[in-house]
Amino acid sequence: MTIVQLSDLVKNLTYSTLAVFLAFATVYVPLLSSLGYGYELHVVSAVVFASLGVGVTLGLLRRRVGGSRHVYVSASSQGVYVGKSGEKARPVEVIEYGTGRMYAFLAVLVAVVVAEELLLNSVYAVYGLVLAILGLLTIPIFALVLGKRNDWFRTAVEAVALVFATRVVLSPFPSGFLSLSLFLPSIYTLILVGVVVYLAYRGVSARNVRISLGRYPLRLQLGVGLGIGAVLGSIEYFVLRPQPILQDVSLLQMLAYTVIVMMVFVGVTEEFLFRGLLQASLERAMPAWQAIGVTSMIFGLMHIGWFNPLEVLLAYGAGVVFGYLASVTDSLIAPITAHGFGNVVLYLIALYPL
Amino acid sequence: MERKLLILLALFVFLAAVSSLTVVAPLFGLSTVLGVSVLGSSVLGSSVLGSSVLGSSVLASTTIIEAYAGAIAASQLCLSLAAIGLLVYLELSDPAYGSLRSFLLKLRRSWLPVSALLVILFFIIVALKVWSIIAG
Repeated sequence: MTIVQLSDLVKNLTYSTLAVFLAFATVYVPLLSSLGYGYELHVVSAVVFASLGVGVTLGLLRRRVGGSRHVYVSASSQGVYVGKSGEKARPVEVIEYGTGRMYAFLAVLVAVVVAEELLLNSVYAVYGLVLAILGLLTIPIFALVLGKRNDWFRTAVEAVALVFATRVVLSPFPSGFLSLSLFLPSIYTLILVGVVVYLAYRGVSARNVRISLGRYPLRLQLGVGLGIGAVLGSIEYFVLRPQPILQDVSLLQMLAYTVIVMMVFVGVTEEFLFRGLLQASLERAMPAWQAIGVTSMIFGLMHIGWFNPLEVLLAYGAGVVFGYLASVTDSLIAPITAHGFGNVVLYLIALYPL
Repeated sequence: MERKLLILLALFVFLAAVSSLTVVAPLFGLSTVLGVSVLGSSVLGSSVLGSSVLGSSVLASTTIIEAYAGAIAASQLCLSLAAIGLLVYLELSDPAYGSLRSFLLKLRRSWLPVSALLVILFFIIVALKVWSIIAG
């Protein structure tokens, strides 16, 4: 029985994230010089990034637990109690690690995400969308088989199916609809509907997906979120240099629209799906740092649409930060604030380019 | 369904309406985790499509917009077939018709939320088709 300390989480997360960053940065430069800045670079870098991420996160796992069953203990209320001598014992939740087969399947899922995103962002977009629909339909079958002994792993795998749903919800809208300001809110509302319907059917409580006030004071969570968001948004601007989100509108309109769309629709929905449902479920099937790593990898890969390998890496890093905040605070308040405010900062800087 | 989730959904619907009133100009250059969705004629980020990425790539052989238009049309067909197929499966696997293998029953429960989402999307497809016909 192992009691996971906060310092272990920080140490493992730092090592794994740095390993992925350094390895990718080392590979990226020769890739760029040999392939040039084209779609080929995009494809190869995505595959390299995913391989490195899986290797670091799940590869280290095999060395540590070897696919066998270990027991992980964390603060919760399931009836097992631990505590140092002289202290009041605290309730803990006993969690069984998954088997090697589960980790292998997670690696396959990451590969499918890479394939789907690369196809979707090419002239073969039709295959990408069809693959997303197939993923949405078939992943629950695999989840059922592989999640027999670990219901939370099943939930996590089904959450990946919902990640594919974020692409499938694009299907109903004709291209002309893209010009409407209602487009993004519609898409994100549909994603949220999908997640909420799933949670309702599966009987997963809002508390289990971190819809709560968390362990720390609200002001502290908001403050940390705003600070991290400001930093990440500024860095992202230098990576992406995006156009303003709207053109030919007043500053007030721009601000209102950006804040509503980025803080609420983008921030809440993406954090709810990734850090809330996917990561929180994975954390009950594997150590927290690996759950954060896998979730961040998928989150990063979903940014392939930017056609910028550095953005994928940045999104992975941001995902690790958001994941850490969610894990430590046991709430989505800080990650939602950081994510949403980061995007607001990104597009506010775009208004006044440096 | 939990009250918190219902409140969240209600907030989204309300803010979706508010955001549609906030601006009427087309979106431009926005890309988030749904980056692919904004590669369209009116929401085309010039910083994305104007880069050398597309100029020197497989994408240069055709326009991405054409590719997406075709992809959306094909995926609408797939999505509709999948929704209908799932509904048929849900009906046939109803325990009221008699005993069934436990795996098929579990699968039925697993596919229920997926079916609900696909049916919603199917109705949106139909509604937008009807709307586009009426609007000419």
